[in-house]
Amino acid sequence: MYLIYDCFKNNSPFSIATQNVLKHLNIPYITLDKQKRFKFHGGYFGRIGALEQFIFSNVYNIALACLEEKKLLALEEDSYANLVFTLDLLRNNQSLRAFAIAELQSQNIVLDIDILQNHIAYFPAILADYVDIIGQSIKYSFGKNLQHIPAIMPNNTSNGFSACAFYGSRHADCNMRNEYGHIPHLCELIGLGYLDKPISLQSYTHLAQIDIEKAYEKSGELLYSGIDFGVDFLCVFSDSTFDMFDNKQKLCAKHCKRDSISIASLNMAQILLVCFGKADEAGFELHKVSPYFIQHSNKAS
Amino acid sequence: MGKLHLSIFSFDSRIDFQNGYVRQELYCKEHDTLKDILQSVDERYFGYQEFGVDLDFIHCRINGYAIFGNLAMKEIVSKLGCQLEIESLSKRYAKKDLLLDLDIAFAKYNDFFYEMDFIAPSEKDELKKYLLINFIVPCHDDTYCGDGFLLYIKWLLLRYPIYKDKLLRFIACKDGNIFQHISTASFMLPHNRAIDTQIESLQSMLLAPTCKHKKWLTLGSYIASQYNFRCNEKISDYNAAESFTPFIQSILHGSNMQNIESYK
Repeated sequence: MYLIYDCFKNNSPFSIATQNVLKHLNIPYITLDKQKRFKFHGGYFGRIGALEQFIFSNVYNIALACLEEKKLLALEEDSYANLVFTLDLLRNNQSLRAFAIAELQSQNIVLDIDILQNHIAYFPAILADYVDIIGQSIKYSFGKNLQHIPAIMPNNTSNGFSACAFYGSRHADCNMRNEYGHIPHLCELIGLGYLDKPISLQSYTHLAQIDIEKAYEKSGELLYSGIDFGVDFLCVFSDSTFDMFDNKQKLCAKHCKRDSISIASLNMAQILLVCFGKADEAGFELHKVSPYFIQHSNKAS
Repeated sequence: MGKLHLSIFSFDSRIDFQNGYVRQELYCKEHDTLKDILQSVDERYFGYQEFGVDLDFIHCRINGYAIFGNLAMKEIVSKLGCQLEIESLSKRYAKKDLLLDLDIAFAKYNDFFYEMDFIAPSEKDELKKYLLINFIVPCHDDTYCGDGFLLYIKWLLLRYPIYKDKLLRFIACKDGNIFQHISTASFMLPHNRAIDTQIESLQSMLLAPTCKHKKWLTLGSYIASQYNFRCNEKISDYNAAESFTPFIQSILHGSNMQNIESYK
């Protein structure tokens, strides 16, 4: 059983789409009791600027799941990276462990800190356990696929849809246990061309707190590198990347001196919902740039 | 293990105006290492029929990932497949195929050494050992001082504690701009956080309320204010970046400039 790690300030496509995918795949989950709140996980600079609060807030958030005997399910990279990094710090350093235990006790939380490791999970990673059920749930594909499922719209001119992956600024933390190992196979199953290029590893969203114009300029260069591959949409894995490539897309185009080209940024849960014929449950209404093919898939469904 | 399809960066600064790629197919055995493969490359297709590579300390980029040392091919192929694009760490500073001209990269720091006149000549040369680290992230612009340079600053801080303020001021200013650092961990194969840990420890120094340079204090206060709570306990005796890890040491000690001499 999972506890959704919904730490977004507002309604987020990550949260809406992930919960709907979990429902469709019959994966049990709960959301946090409305009287409780997750603490801010630290963003990119939390570990650099305020280590004590960073460690405690991440430990506290896992403890909320642990006390209810659930796994805290991170939905995107920004929050997952900080969970992984915190547990890594605690595993390797005695003084940090002592601090975390003492701080938990001062907040009247008593638990064995070693079991926190067993109480975190990452949404794209858990999909590896459900590939068969996903295969059975697919109604529409993005192109040629192993099961010859019809594509979401007639596409005679190419081999189908393709997307360029863009990871977050702390991607290495999120891929220490091969969390993304099954993603190429999953994309093959849904007929999606998945471009995992060296530029996929780059991210400048954290520069927004240092030099906002530079963040737009560099993110814009990255965005257009993706567009220049000729992909149909972008596959984003972190909330900050989504915010930059969707909400701030026009600013990115302006600062990197390119003509504005609308391209949508989808997360993995949304991509699956499109294939399940449930695009209307993916939270696209929260996007500034909606994927152009959704009207066709809605018609089809 | 099977056939490898290699596309190898080719450039000779003595004769070429443009770079290119040489395609070769090689058979890779189960226990082959990267050195075995690079040794088997047919040199006839490169400038002056020589293949420029430092086999004593391999440093190159394969399919976008920076690689240091003699990795097992099994590890490389399992992660990147059999189609491998092998390049120098930086095309901009390429001297001969996979070898770099670090003298040109070094010249960028003349202004720094002019300002830091307390640094002894032998210690200036020490910077060359760190420069390979500058090229792990393939996308920095000229306004950033470089990841390797920041590690060199850490080394200088240990040698010249009395000049700590002067050194920190340099990397805190817009020209150095340490906060433009991008995590290097995912650009290396295998992933390694060691370099980021060192640079982030420098960033932490500049964000600390006790830091004499106030330029980044606002950012430090902003980060702390996002939490809306204070901890009752304190962390005691913790320094994540006390010394360079064996991985960083291997890059510093592996940087061997002798091989490049013959291409001058």
